[in-house]
Amino acid sequence: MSYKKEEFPHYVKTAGKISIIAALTGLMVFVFTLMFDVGAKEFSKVSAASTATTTLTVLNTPPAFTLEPYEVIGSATTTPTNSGDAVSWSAIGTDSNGAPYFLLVCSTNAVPTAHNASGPGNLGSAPPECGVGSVQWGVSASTTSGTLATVATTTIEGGQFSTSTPNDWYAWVCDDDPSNPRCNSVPSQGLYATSSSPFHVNSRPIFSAFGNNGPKEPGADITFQSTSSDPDLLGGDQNIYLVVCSTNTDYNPTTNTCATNFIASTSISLTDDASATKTLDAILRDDTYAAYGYIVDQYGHEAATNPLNFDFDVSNVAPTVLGGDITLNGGSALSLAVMGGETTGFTLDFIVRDANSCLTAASTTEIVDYNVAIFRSSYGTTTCDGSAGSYDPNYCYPNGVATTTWNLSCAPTNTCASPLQDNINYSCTFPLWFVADPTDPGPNTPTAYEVDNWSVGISGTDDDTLTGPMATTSNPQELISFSAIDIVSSAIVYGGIEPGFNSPTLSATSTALNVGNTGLDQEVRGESMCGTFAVGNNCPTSPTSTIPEWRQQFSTTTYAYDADATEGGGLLDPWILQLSSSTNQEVEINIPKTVATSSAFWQEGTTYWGIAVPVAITLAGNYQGLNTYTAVTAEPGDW
Amino acid sequence: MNLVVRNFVVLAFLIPLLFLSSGISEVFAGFGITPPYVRNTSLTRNSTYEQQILLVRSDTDVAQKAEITIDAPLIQDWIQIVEGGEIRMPVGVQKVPMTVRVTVPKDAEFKDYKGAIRIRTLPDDGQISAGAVSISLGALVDINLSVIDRQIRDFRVRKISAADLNEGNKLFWLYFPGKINFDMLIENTGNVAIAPSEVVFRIFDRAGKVLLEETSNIGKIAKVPPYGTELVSAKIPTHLPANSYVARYTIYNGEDIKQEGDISLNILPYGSLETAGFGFIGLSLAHKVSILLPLFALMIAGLYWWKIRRESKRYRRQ
Repeated sequence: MSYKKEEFPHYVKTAGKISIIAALTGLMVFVFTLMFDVGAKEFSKVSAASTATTTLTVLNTPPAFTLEPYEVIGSATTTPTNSGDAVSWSAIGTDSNGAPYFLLVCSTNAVPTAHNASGPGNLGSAPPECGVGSVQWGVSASTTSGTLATVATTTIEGGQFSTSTPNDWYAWVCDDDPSNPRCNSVPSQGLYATSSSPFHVNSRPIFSAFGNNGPKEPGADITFQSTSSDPDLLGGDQNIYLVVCSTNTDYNPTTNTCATNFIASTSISLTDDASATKTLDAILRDDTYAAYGYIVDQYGHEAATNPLNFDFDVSNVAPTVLGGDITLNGGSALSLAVMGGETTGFTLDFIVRDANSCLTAASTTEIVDYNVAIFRSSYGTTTCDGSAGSYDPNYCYPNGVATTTWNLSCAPTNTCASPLQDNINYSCTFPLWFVADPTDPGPNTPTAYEVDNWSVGISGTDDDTLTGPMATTSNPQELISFSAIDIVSSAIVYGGIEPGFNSPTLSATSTALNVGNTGLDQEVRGESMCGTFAVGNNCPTSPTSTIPEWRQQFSTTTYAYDADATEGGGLLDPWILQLSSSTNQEVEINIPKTVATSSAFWQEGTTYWGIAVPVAITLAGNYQGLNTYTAVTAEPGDW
Repeated sequence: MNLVVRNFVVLAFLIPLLFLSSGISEVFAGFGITPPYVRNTSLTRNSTYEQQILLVRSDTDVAQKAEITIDAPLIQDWIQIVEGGEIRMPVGVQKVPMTVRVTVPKDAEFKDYKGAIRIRTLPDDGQISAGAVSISLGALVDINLSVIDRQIRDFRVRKISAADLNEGNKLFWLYFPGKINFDMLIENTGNVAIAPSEVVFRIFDRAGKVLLEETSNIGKIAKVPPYGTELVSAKIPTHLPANSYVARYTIYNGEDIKQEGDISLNILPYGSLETAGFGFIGLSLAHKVSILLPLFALMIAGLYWWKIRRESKRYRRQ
């Protein structure tokens, strides 16, 4: 090879020599390779497929998505992932040469780095990594080409997870080809609405205090309050809920409630200081009850401080009695039947109810006592209030008095078997004195009595000595008039009188006692006297052995015997009455109604008697007769 | 001494002793009656009215009898003492009833009638204390009657009660409500048979604050005869579940409210009590129709089939 130096002054002397050397070297390598059959094994396929003498290196191709990546549980603004929970992605990648692949999820689209396995026998052992500056949310285990790969990461509050902004993600599928590992060139962010990028992390609500507005009565609303909030801003303010349980052992974080000990939960939309209201059971013991508050946000995320404990109190309420639950004397009128004493056997039935149940927490009786007042309605429970001082046998019978004064005897007719039971039923008997005011519409009953009836007021007392209001029966009863008379002496004593003489004055007496509950008058009639008189065997008409009845005179005052009077009342002084065997004559003794129970103070009236022994009487001896005192209810004004 | 002088001496000696009785005691047997009247202001012609009067005495150691006389000239024939004119009061018996029956004749005048019944106690053996003016006791029963020519429909509620009941139950699609048996002791104060026209229950929660249900009786309430007192029952349906309630009841006589008040009402879980609940009558209208409609349809279909078959036979005969 030659050239002109003149034309190429800068020509290098070695020019062209390197090309020749290179060509010769290449030729020698070719001949050497051909002679020793280097790479026969490695390129056998190629050799088998082709008999061309030319060679080609087919490079590794990256896997590709055949199912776009998605969040297994979609995480979005409306369905965020609670901190602490895992975000999972799944996808299917297919490698053209069937090599296993990895699903890689990163926070940015920075190109990831695929790593090569140490050899063809170790495929799937070198997972890829996210690119520089990108948070690697996760990389799956080696996954067979064409099958589902899943990768997950557990979220936390803070750190690489943002709770205030969405967390983007980009997914790749990569292989770890030993010689040319590769990831697909374009990352995917998913295609499926809420299960595509980004994902959202939901913070726990904040719960710092728990309380209630108790104590409350059974049946009332008690409100459980909390100091609580939710720090999340993404997607707007979140509602938070207060769940209240009676224990701290059975709260279920999945259902956000208590299995068996649920008390209350927030039922309205609140973003701060969630509260919950519970209507207490209608029958509930007065006691302190445990309450545990749990705050949970609208995505079911619990506060880290759950639960907080603050017990609530159910207050004691007084027992109550309903008017319809009081039955006086079985619905029958009150009828006295013992003169000058107490008629026993009247009945009283009533029910005392207590909203705190009839059973205390200590299984003792909640309803411990009752207050009873039986009274004439004009007096009412203000006057007849159950206290001993209000006792008056005429119109007020309170059980505050000693049983020696008024023996109200009551016994429960049911047992208190359950804290869900609120009532004790009582059945009582009681007496009434004969002076108890009548209220029936008798012809002579004073109006002031007649407009009344007998009622009963009852209140209950509980174990905390709290007494309820006194309820009066819906069915008061009448107390029936009882006209009753008694006589101090069973006979009239005239003394000794000679025939032809008479009592100088009406000096023999008979005293009638008012032992009923009305004012009393008295009618009198009588028979002639003789020595043989007996009931049904009247005296014979004999001037010598029978003293005619009209010879007896009587009055309300001790007048002089009217000796001039004749049979039939002729010439009789107007203030004196003559005894008759056929006509009842009323003596206006006007015995007022007795108001005291002691016999020393019973009202009484005296009838004064006198007699004349006819001069014709010749038979001496004991004369006997029978006079009848008939009790007559006095006119209203004489009570 | 002649006879006249001798007699005078004897009499002069003995007569002063005539009334020196020896059998006088300081405690005597009292007697009383309750009520001391027979009263009815709403009698009608042909009506019968009975009233019981208790005869009461304090000394039961001796047997006595009560002798009864009626002193009512205009109505003597109307009045009968059921126990008779004499009523025994044996030893140990402190009170005995006396029943006065008033039978108003069909031609009785419409007006007021008055009279009296006198009762006198006597020793059952007829013996009285020798040598004494004994005193027997008695009592007067006032008679006040009015015969009127108009009907009076009135009553008085003397007692009420509501027993515990089972809550309602469901059988297939049919709901049988719980049955409140509201018992009322009714005294007929008028002169025709009567019953409460309606009983309304307004059922509140246990605290008596929240009205939960308003319901009234189903079916008729048994009538109480004139002047009688009987226990009658109103059947009231309730759809409330088992719990403790307060019921505000109202008992009506036509437009008038005869009584209202509060009563406790305990509804127990179904099956707690072995008491009969409501049957068909307690069902709602819709549920009644759901039973009756298919029945009627079947009946109509049956009749139609019978008619077709009959016409077919007739056609074949022709």
